[in-house]
Amino acid sequence: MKRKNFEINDTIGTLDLFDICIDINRTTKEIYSIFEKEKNTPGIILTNKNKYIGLLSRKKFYEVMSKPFSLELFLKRSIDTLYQEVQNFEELILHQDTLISSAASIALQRDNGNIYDPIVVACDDYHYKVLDIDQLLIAQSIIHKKTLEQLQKNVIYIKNLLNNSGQGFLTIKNDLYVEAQYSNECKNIFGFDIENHFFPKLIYPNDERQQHFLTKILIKIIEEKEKKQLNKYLPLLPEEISINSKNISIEYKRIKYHSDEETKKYKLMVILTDITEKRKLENQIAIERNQLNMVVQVIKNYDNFIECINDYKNFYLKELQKILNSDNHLDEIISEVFRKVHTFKGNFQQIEMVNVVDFLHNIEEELLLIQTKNKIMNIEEFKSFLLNIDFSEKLNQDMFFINHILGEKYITELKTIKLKPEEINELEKEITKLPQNEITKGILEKINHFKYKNLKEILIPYFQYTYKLAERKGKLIKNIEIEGDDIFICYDNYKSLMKSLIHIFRNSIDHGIENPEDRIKKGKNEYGIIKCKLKNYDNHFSIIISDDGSGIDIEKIKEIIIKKHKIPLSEINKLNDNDILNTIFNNCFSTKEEISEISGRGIGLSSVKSEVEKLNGSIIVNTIKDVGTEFTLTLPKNILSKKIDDSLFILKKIIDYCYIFFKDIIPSNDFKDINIEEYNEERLALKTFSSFIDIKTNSEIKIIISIDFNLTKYLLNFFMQNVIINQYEEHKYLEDTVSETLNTILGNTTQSFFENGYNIDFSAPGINTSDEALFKFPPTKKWKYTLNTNKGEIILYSIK
Amino acid sequence: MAKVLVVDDSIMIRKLIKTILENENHEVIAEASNGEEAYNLFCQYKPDLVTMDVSMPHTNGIVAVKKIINNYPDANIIMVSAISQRDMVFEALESGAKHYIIKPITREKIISVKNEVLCPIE
Repeated sequence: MKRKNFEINDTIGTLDLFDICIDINRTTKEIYSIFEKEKNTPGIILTNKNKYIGLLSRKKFYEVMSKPFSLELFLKRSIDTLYQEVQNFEELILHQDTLISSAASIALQRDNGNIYDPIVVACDDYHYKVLDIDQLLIAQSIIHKKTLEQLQKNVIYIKNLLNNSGQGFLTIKNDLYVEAQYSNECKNIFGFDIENHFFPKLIYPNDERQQHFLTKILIKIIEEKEKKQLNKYLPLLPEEISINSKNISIEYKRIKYHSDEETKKYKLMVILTDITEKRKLENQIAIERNQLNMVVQVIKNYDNFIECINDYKNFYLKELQKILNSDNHLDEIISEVFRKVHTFKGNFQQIEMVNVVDFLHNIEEELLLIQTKNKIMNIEEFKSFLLNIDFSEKLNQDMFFINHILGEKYITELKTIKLKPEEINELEKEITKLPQNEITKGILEKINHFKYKNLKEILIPYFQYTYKLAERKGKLIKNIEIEGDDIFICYDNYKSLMKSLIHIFRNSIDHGIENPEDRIKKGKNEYGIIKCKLKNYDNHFSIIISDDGSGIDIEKIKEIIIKKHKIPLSEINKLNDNDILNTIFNNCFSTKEEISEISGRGIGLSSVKSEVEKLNGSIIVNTIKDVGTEFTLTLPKNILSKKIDDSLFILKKIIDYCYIFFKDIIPSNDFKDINIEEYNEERLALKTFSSFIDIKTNSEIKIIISIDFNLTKYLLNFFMQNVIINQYEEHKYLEDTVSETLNTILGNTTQSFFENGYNIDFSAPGINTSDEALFKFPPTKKWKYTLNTNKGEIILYSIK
Repeated sequence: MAKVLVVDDSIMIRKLIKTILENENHEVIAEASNGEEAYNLFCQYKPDLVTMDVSMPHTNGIVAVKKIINNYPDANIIMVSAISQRDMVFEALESGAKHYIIKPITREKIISVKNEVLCPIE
């Protein structure tokens, strides 16, 4: 049986070999009969006393024998005689361990004349056998087929490997067009088949300058002959790019594709990895921080928030149509939409609804293009452009988050805030999960504001108390009316004051509201009236508590002053009524001679006053005899809501990095409070060294960094490490340090500006040195940020 | 020992490079703070090595490289740059600068690049 199956590594020793030897001293006739009998025998090994002599192939044998008289001539003679005749032929001898494939390749390299001759196989112990070329070729062809199949499998395997590696593999030659074989991931990354696409354009589809740069450097790299030069240029290639809003990291590997040493040719393998998820994770913390910030802002600016949302909805649902359908000229319409969008952007910025802000910013950019005729549109095109924009999507995204944190009720119950303590705790927990730093600390502080309450809700419990008190005192009062604005305050901050308000209500019952009989005598309704009125202003609010009682008796106050303080009447008469009235807020004042159980201790109103003063508020009393008394408390809102504009936004971004920067440099430092404040002085107080940079965005902003001498010196030492600086030159170095610091901080902040859609242009930094100088600036919007370190102080100003 | 011209608009960076090179027994023969000055000083001193900041006021580093190479094709110029200026660095290399250092500057970077430029091992 002939073998049908061969493996790639099989040797010719495993093939069917013909093991026929004959001593050359035997007669040719014997060979003849072997060849006649064994029709398949391709040749016979000739030996001489068991020593190998050569091969006599069937072909050669019959060639010689077919000549005239050969039979007669050779048959009876020894084989040796015949062998002399055919010796011009040199047989191929291969060892039995030769691979079939190599044997075939060697056999086929023989001359055309003997290419089909059998092959002698040298086996171990000097034994020789004959291999038929046909058999070798059949075996070879089977192996060849197998090899191809295996190769195919390998190719598919490797392709699968690449396709499933999640990385984009592609190759380019020096024409920079993507070659046909690339991994599937490339399609995912670019979103289309990239075969034959121009690589630089794939990487920077919209930036011709970078395309140009990439083209030049890639050709340089692919064609570069010197390895050293190659290593020089490779690091200049972009390492990370953004494609279809995915973050893609890029690696490059130059590979040889022409094996010939003389004409070395290279192509570049490019490996693309989608690191969006990784970056996302990295950004997750930042995003969460921003979102929480947004929630905090929403609560802080609750009224603005509701107003802003409603205005905005009204804008895209109704107003926009109206504007678009007006008879105005297209330019005017565009301008109006632009103004609206810009205003909303500002409003949403104030409550840090970042998604909406980004979205509006993009629309603004588009509108700007149209406005400046970089994009020509007629009114119909403009309409369809605007009406196809989904104005609600990003708003809903932000609202989703706000709802998620605060609960749906928060937004729907527009009048009052109801935030359960558990919800505040949950929020607090979420924030403590983040890596703790100054910023999260800031947010946690702000969480206190989540304990905001509607002032009305705070006051109502006092009413119950007042009713009970009146009952005890035998006085009748109507239900206390509360009217006016809804004011939200952080209860914790006003707790003491609110508690002291009880004294005002007591006073009304004790000294204000008369007995029912007296009231009737005075012609009043027997039920007294106590009112509570709330007024909301920008930075403060008022609580007005009034009664329709007997009023405060000025003459009686005078008497008490005389009695208690032993001041002569003549002196008292010099005072006006108001001064006298105000003495009721003094310590130990009581108009009741008998110390009443409840309010006669004379400390009531003075404690209200002191609480009010602690909060930097004021209290005024107005009274008219028999008409009533009115207390007006004016109190600051503890947390001022500040307008957030570009300069603040940019300053915030800078501060974010500034914090990282100094944290690196002064690792041991325990950073003291970080605060951004609106700065209203015309003069800027500067530290010893200051550096100025103008930043151009939509508007122009000046950023000033000002560092005190000690910290500058510390920074200089840090930068220069062990370099010793000549004392006379030191000053110039210190100045340089400050401008390099500002440069570094801004340089590293740029990325986040771009992410926020800012086109930033920096000027070269200017420098100022002076000891604690004051710089005068026109009264524009200024923000100030102070960072205290244990090495000194840094101030950052942002001036619009 | 090589004669070096250090070009940077920041005195701090100049001092840093100078100190590192001097510790390596090189001599900083001159310092320039802009491209124009750099060219003039190059003509005057013919230094063995120049470190050149990419962005400087007045004449930037690229212009200076072109000008110097134009007249002294064998000049050894090393660019000093921030990573955001890849294309500028490439342009400088194409214009004849021998190598570059990406900020932040460290002793190791300066020494390795300097050695590569001044004593190339073939």
